[in-house]
Amino acid sequence: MNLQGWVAWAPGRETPEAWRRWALAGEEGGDAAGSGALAAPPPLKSIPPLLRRRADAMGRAALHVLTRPEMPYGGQPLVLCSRLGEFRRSFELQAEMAREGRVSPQQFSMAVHNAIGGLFMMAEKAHAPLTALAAGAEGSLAGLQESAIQLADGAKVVWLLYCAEPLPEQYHFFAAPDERASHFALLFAWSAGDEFQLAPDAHSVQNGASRTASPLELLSFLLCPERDSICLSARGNWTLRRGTLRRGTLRRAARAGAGL
Amino acid sequence: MSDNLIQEIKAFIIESLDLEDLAPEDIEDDAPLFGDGLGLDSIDSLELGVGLQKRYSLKISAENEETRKIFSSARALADYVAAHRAL
Repeated sequence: MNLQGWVAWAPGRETPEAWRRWALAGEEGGDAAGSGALAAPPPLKSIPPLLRRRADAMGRAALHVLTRPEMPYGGQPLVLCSRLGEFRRSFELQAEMAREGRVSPQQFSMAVHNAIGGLFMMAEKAHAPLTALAAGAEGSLAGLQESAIQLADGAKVVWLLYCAEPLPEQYHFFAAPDERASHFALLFAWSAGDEFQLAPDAHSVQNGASRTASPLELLSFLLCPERDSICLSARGNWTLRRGTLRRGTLRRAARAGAGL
Repeated sequence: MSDNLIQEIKAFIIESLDLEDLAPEDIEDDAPLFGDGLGLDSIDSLELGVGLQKRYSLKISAENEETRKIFSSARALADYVAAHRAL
């Protein structure tokens, strides 16, 4: 796969330069993970008011990166990948049901995982394929796999969006510490090519040296050219590696040889 | 029916539907709320129905043949509220 472009937003980190500094400093979230309090969302002036009123914290961050002038949308398939989606909305709906016995139809209509992608497609008047994924701890991998599948199926470019918003405090018990306060939207444009190779990595299985990378860690890897690979699945050992298959195979062979 | 109630209904519509960037004076008394006018959709009509029940204890049945007329404009909605709300 080739990375054609990217756009990212997190509270206090809104420019490519800020993200590069963050990646080079080796932060794994930093203040992109936030304090748990909801940051002011981007203003979204390019989305019609009747559509943007329906987006919450995560949705506004997502729509912000989807509508940046530096990466104009051209009808590409969109893969929207979020572990929990706009969970604060779902939690508030449950609280409202318990409190009043009825819920807001408007909020209920948005409480599905593909709703934010739907708002974007409506704003763009687009009819492109939209895939919404909730893939647990392996969301980074699932998003890349889906993108690779769509490229293999003939798409010229696939837009892959990762997004999250801080969890309600009542659910912190169920979440990993770095997921509790995460508020970000990361958008990647992928095309077919050999800049990066996504494949199971038998070598790191043998070494047992793998862990599952979050979307923020994936971005950090992509912004650091000297890094060779990143493990996207501790279970299946899927790895995203720089370079062609041949180059990657040779490197792995060289390392395996050195280890013997 | 007073102009105050029409203004109140406009504020109620804006608040119920999160119509950011809109003020009551931006909504014309007789302009259509749905379609070409304010541009509201079917989900908004459900939201207004729930809001009317909460705010004015008014229940509008989906089978009510008058529903389309009740929601046709801010003035029509104010007329309905004035005639039916609990005193």
